[in-house]
Amino acid sequence: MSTPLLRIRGLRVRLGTAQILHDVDLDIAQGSRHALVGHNGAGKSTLLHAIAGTVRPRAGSIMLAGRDITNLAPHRRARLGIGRTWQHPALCGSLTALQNVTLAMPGHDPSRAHRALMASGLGAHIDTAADQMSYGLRRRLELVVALAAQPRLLLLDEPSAGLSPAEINSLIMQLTSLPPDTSVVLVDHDLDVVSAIAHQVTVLHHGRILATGAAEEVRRAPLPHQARPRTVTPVFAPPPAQDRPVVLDVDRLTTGYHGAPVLAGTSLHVTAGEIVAIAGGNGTGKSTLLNAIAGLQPVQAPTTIRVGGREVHGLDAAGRARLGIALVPQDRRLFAQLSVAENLVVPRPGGSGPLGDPAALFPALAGRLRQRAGTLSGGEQQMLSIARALTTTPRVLLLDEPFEGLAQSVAEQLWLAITELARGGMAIVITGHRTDQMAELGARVLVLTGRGLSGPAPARGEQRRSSGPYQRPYR
Amino acid sequence: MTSSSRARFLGIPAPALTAAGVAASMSLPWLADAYTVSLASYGLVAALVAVSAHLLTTTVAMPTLGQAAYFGVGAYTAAVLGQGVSSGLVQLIAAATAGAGAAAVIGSALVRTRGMVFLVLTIAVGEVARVAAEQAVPLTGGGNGLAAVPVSLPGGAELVHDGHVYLYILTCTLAITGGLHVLLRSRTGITWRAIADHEARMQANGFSVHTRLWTAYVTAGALAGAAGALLIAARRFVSPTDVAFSTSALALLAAIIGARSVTATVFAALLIVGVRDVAGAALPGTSPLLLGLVFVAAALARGGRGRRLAARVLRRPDYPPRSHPEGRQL
Repeated sequence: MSTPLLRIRGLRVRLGTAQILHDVDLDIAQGSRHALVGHNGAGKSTLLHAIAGTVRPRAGSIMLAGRDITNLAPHRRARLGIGRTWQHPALCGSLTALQNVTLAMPGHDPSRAHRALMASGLGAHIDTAADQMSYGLRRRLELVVALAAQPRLLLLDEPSAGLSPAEINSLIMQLTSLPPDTSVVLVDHDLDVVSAIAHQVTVLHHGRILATGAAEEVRRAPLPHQARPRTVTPVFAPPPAQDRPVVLDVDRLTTGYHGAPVLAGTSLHVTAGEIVAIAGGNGTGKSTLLNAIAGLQPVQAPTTIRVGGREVHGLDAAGRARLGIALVPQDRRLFAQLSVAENLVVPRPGGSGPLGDPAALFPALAGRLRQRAGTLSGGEQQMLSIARALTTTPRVLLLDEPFEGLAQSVAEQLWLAITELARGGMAIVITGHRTDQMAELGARVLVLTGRGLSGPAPARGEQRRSSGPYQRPYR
Repeated sequence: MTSSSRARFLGIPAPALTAAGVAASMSLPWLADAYTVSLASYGLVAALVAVSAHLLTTTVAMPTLGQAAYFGVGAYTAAVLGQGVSSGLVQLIAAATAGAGAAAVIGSALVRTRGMVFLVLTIAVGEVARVAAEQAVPLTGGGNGLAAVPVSLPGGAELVHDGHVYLYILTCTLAITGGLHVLLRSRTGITWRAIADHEARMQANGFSVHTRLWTAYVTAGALAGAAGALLIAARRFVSPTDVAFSTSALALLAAIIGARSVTATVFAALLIVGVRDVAGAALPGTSPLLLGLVFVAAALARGGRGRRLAARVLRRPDYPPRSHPEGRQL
């Protein structure tokens, strides 16, 4: 048997007080397409970090093509052929797309970078600064950056998160057409993506490997209950429309960046106890809409935004939060240096939220109250961001891609919580790419396009098949 | 297209404004008295120290309060060298090299730190340099300072007249800041900005971040060292007072006011020196108060409404709007 490209033995990683990985052994063959699956907090991203060198293990060894790289700096590992993406797009924000790719290209050849951007469908954004791009575009750009160096081992941390169905299909095509000798280690909660790309699967649970092998074998393997999510599809039945007062009334919302309009005259009315799901491609302004309602994005005339009949014009984000608007942003914006418990008391000291203890909503957080937010896994950070928003007992809850990065069971739990909040009279607006399933579960779906919001159904072919607003379980 | 190429001030394109500013600066010796010309010479020296702070504070996002150390190394090098070699150009190169050398040694440790730790360590470096200047009496003259002879041009002509000294310093400052301007737009400069944006991404791209930051730190040391040589040309004297914390603080203030522009940093340094020395002289005892007000105004302008007002006045099209979710603030 030939030497694997990557060989990990006895890897232990500790972050702060938490032991994240326990004696992990893993082989990745040359040309293998390998998926890491498991719950939020299972240690998937930490394992990628350890391979890339951004997290130092306490014990164990990592060998790349027979060379010990355990103590090698990240840039030296990159030079040996390890490329990577992050859970949130890691780009140099003030640089253009072309500059970002050029810096990653061997020889820093701008003409090759130009060709790579054109080939990946980002030709229209070559001279756009990365921090002026939508989330989905940034994620696509990050993949171009990671591939620019032609890595022999590509580490992808949730590459499909935040992408539209069409973009996910494009991503799958891009990854399946990589050179056959390029190895890929993939972490993703979208099991369609995992199934389409990965030949090998490793299941991680609380930092230990439960099973590893060919994808079909692992699917059939008996796993502990906790590592195998439940398959419940909760359906939300909103109360009759005539009984519900309008809580959020957005009329002719107009905004943009640097004079370029993003939303022009968009209107949205959400009643108490209603869940509105907003679909739309990347760059159509979904996040901008939520930010504008929350007071984080300047708006122009003739915009009017009312909450419970009261005009919010002139109120900043803090004033709108006091009025009952809570936003869970896509990039979480947690207080990374504060503990989980401290993050939960900052918005409203002593507040418990409409569902009682916010941490109780997500049991994974309950055991981590003293842990610094910055050391939580991506999914746990997402849970904390949502729990924090709920401490203010909002009347309007704005959730920007809330299911992104969540394991199926946690996403399911979140959906239950959202429906519970709606039954309590809260008006909820969710952005996402999987809104057709949310429609089946009782949400009113609107599609955001350049002409504003329209409904109810998204354009045919825009959505992919899935069993919930979140992902199918891995089983 | 970069922001700087489209930047305007009161509707005037930045390059035209810069050209007009250079022309006006060149004509200063014929328009102003000797005191003003002498003050302008020192203002340009301070501007070069500020530009070195700008490189670290703005370009690589590592705010520093220690550039006076390399300024002092350059000044004492030029003064000591001037006892045997009067050539201004030789002194300038030697001072820049000495500043770079000192920064190379100290920077190898400092660039492994970030944020507050880096800032505090740079303060320590500045204070150590000041104490060293006071204690190394045989070399530096201690608290009495070190006098120097007038510098000379390559042809051998000594620069004695205030106007000539000013034009020499202005030429050197323009050449050095122009060179830095080019450097910041080169791949090296883009790499520095990229590291400031996302260090981990640049590591994942195969860049040794420590080496790149060390290069920036050494370059900033060379700039401050060169400013030290120009101080000797301007005043023919250096003392530990020139290496004091206040020099580093004013450089940082100018870098903060100047934001992303080298040119704006130069003007900010000139403004600060003007406020301190002209307005302070007109209203005795108020110099610290006036500088404090400049500090407060700069902080307000960087953080809120003033910043947006400045953005509108400067008409920077790509300046982040008030609450752009991705807006980056230094």
